[in-house]
Amino acid sequence: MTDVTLTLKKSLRYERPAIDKGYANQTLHLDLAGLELAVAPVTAQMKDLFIGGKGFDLWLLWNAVAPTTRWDDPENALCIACGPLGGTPAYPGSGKSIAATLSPLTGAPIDSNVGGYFGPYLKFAGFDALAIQGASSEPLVVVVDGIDQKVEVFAAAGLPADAYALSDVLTARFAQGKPRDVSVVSAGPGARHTFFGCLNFSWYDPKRRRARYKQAGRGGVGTVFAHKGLAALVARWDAGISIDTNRPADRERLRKVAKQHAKEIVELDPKQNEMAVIGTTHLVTIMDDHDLLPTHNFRFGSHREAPNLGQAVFRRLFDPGYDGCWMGCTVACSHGVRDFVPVSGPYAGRKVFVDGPEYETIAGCGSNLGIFDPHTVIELNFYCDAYGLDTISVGTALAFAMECFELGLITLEYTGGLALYFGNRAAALEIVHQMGRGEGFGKIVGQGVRRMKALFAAEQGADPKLMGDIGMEAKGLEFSEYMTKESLAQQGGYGLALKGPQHDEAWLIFLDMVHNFMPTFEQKAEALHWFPMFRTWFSLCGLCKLPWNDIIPEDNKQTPEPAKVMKHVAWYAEYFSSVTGRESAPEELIRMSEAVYNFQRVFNLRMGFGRREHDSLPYRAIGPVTELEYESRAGRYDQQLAALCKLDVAGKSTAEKLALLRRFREQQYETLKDAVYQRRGWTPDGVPTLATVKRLGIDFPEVVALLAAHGVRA
Amino acid sequence: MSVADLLEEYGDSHGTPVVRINDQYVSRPNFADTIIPDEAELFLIPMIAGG
Repeated sequence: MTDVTLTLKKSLRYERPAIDKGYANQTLHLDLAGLELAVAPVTAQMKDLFIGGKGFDLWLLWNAVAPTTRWDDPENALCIACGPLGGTPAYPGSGKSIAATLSPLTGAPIDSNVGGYFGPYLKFAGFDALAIQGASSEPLVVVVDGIDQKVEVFAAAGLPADAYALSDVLTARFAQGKPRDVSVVSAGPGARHTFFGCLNFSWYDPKRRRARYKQAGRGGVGTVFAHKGLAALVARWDAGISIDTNRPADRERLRKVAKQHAKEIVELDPKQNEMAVIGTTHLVTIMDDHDLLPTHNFRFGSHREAPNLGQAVFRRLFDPGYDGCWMGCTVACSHGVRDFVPVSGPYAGRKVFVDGPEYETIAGCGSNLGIFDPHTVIELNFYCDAYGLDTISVGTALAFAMECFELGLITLEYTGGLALYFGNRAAALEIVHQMGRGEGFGKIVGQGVRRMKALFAAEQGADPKLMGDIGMEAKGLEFSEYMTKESLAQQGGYGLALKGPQHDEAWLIFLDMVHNFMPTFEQKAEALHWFPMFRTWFSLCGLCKLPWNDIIPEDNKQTPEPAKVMKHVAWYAEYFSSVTGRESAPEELIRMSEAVYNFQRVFNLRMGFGRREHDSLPYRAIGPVTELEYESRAGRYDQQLAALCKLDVAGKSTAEKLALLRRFREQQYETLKDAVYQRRGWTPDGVPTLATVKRLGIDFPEVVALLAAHGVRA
Repeated sequence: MSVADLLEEYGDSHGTPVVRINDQYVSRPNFADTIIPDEAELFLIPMIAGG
């Protein structure tokens, strides 16, 4: 056992407020530079306009930073919030925390949602949100103790570096015999050495008697955490949480709607996706069957070995049992692998428990790297978490490096002797270990795709245009793991997402490509309005989206708008009304999100982004880049050229057909942008109009001045 | 009987992208080639969401 020393540097006693209709009505602010702690009230305007969760994070971040602030400046704030519905144990999926900060990858605000107990415990301890600014030269542990009503900041020495061991130590240290009362947030050594560090949020699994983990993965929130000198955040609260802990406005109404939804999931999940048994792993073979599973850096959408990574394998590998990352969740999809024995790295030969993998990790660290061995994927999953690395960015960044290596754009000498062919499992593991140690070529990959493109061009003379086409990032963020070439709507779902190409804002592939629910530009634009708005709403409230539309009513198909699963939307409106007392119909939920969504777009603008040019995509997200890609699906592309472009492809070379298809598809994407901007109430340059910000009540003087500076006036 | 045959008989030949036969998932591109074993349980997977 490591000899851990925690030296108290600062403490704050506070009187815990009674939770009222889902809110603690105050926020906690910590400046690490001067070790200043402060409590601020939540205003009525904050609740009306920003609701909570991601909305509160963005508002606190907006007030913390200036247009010139960069991610590693002291004033950049790392904000973590729950939401007014978060912490309800009866309603499935009600334990999300949302972390937000200026991203090291994009320079703009990033938000990342995560399970685990921290957010609800923070709120019940008395704080709807936590904002951390400044930086410390020594590692700090911050403890928000809602039971003893104190916040304490400790200088830490001797803490383990990796997230798993660190959380175990701190859980034992602060639990006072009740480990379920504690949730720990930590990063890991890789978060310090890369730009895509993640945060591990713990929850205690009483059956397995161990801390378990979920990750706020995207955009480098863990890198900001590590840069600030934080070793860990700890929240302590009495785990005896009930439906009353949020003090809902109408307890009986809440109980009724929560029971309905929980019961439906218990009945239907076994008949549908079996998420309580196999998590999201069913998606692997389904995506593969529909040519949507990224393989070899998004070149292709299927591979004959994909079933090796599918649910049939993980059904056997997952440790059976209840795996809810929040209390009482009936989706319970947070599965893990017991007694896994890594073959590499500091845990080689030792039995460990691995939390995951989920679909994104399997596709990112498996098929997209040409790796079809589930044990290697599990090991990559384990070390990414232990080192504090986002598995999605690791997978997509490493896939890009592998393709560059195979194309001869970078040399064996440049990679430090690692032959980065697709499928090289040992090399993939070594890259991740190098990220953890902050050395070698892994440190270069850890800078992300956008920086790698610049480095490879400058240091290896690699072709910038080709790398621009195959480097799967937009806005600086690595793509999450879905092929978008054949779904224009999902191209918009990624390209027009505020934070970069992450599927939590819009996942329209099946609705567009398979169900054909939105054949016209106008219908796609409507979908790219409604779905991002409703998905945003979950992050305002502290909720998981899976109960909404991953398990759906049996009569959903007979409803007027099956894609929206309106029965559940109505339940969510009932849920919000019953907790907050703010009577809300389904359309009001969309309006809530619209305010925050447009505010975030304006925030991007304030930071130097947020315009049409920033919504561009690498061409591989839109169509085939290489002749190899074209020829692998030549029938499909030839047919499209003939049917959609009215072109006679006979006698044309593959290079000619590639160019024609590219011109057509890029034009389609630009036309989609126009349609979406119009639907969202934005200018053709992608900036919210004055009428839009006024309608949504976010026409603050600084917002109006910012719009005016970009030529947007009444 | 194939999955495609069953769904046509059920009047759902275009509405379901994925089915589960016992614990095996089968997608629409493979419906015509997948024979449903005797005594199997078959579930229609709506695939509205994902991720």
